Amino acid sequence: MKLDSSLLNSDFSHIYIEKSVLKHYKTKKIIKYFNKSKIIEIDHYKDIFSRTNQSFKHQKNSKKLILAQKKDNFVYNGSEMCDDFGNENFYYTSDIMNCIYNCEYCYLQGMYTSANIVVFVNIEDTIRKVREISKSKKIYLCISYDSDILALENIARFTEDWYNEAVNNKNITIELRTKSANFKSISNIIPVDNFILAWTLSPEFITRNFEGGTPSLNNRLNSVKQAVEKGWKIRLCIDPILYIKDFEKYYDEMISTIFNKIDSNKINDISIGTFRVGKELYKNMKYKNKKSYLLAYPFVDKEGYVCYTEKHRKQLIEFVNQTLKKYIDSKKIFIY
Amino acid sequence: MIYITTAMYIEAAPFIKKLGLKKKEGYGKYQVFKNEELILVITGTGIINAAAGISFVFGKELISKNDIIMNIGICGAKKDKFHIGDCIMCSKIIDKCTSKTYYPDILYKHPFKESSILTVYQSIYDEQIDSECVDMESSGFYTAVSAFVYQHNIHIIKIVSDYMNGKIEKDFIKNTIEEKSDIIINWIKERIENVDESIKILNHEEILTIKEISKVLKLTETMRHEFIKLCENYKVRNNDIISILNSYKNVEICTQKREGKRLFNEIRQQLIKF
Repeated sequence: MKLDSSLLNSDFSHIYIEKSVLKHYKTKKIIKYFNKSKIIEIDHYKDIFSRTNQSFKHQKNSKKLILAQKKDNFVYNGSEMCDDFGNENFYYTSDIMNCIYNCEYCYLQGMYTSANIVVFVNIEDTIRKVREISKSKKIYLCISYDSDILALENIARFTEDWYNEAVNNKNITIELRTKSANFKSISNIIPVDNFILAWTLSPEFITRNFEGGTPSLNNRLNSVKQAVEKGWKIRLCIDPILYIKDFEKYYDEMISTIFNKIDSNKINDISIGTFRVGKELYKNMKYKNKKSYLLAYPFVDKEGYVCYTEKHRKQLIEFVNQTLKKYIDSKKIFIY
Repeated sequence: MIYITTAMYIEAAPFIKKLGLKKKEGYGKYQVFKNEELILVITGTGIINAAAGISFVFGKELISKNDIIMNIGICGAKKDKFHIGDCIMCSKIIDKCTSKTYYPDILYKHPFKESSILTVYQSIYDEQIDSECVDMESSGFYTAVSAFVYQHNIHIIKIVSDYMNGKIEKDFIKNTIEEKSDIIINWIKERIENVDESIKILNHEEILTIKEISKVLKLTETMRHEFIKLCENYKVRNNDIISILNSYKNVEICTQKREGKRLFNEIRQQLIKF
């Protein structure tokens, strides 16, 4: 029998809040924003986030919000699986765990046992740590890997916090990656050179079938266009490129749509890469989503991570790269 | 399958009657009542009994993570928070003895009020407690069942019977539960309509065929597991697996392991074609 979604509670019907952050200013704002949600006090976010026998798949249909205090691991070294775009001192932060979207290929379903969203409200402590690290060196910092910070901007307002830091600290270059169409939430701020807005774009067929809850390609591009017009530094990410039937048709259509709408000269760079994920994460993803078409591909194991066969990887990269070159200077294309 | 536990018969009676449950033998000291889609067990009062009773029944049944399990019963409540007869879905359980807290997922809409509940080891007659409601089973019930089923399939529904101010008459409990049983039963029926989808990919025939082929090819246990996974992935991609399997169904029994390996490799190549 199929799940009747009308019988489910709406997202964030319940907000679980650590007692230690009940009086934090962000907590108060979030409670005000969700004034109809039920509030449940908790001792530690892991009491709810790390329980056994949670169904990631079902929780995705009625996500709850958990507000907590980050006590350690404020900043991580950049992952080998992510492009550093030639930057030294590559770091990332994780002040929100999990995402409001439900992409079938997302590694988060392999990383976390819960689909609920944890917001560590004490972002000021992460920013302080970043300030310490960047005191004597330039750093490249990705702030939206384990979530989509812009999609949650109306709730947490972390983009604004990081922007304020970027304005005052020229030793950091921030990348915010998003699939959202929520540029309007930051449209009133003046762009700075050391803050890159990076949009992940997928063909409409993929968005519709494999990226649950995400805005359409057109809506994402509307946001990109507005950001370009405002003068933001823009990165486009066609990553992960997925090996699906007729991929040439879908990616060709998408690339043409992008550059019909956006002036390629106004794009800082484009990152492309095929689907890849750590072996252990893949195992968890597969366990939670056995019927996934994308995850049923006969992947190969390459030095601890799972990826397409070399033949298919090359096919995908070459096709997308060649198509992009028709529109944009090849020096601007970064291939992972 | 839906499982319901109550501490006392008096709490179970309206559900047994209205859901047409029949008493079943073979459950030792526990009274168990069943119909085709529902099993009700009376565990006895207290944390240990609540945990032991349902664990005993789980040991006898083929429990699945997708099964739904409910504890229904009476509870005490703070006078300024709830009225006698209020139905409550518990969203937080606090064990008085260990101070541990538990949180069942509340994914489904329901017509009840929500509250935390404090589980105590013996009756208390004092309103000066941290929680809004009090009972004697929830933490034991939750601890036991959360090892077996998904968090969103655990429901603890309580009916307020008193304000922790003295002994309650049996007839009063009976009438209070009787009165509220319809609203609970209606919700149970709604929940039954939304039992989770099966996550099985291969059907019975396909699994049997894989077993037969594995035997004929003399596959090791590891190879057999790989075979199953390859078949599952192939079926997800192509909506069919039996046609490939059938073409190997009648191969002769391999006398040498090498021959089995060669054939398995041949099957593997077909199954990973994309």
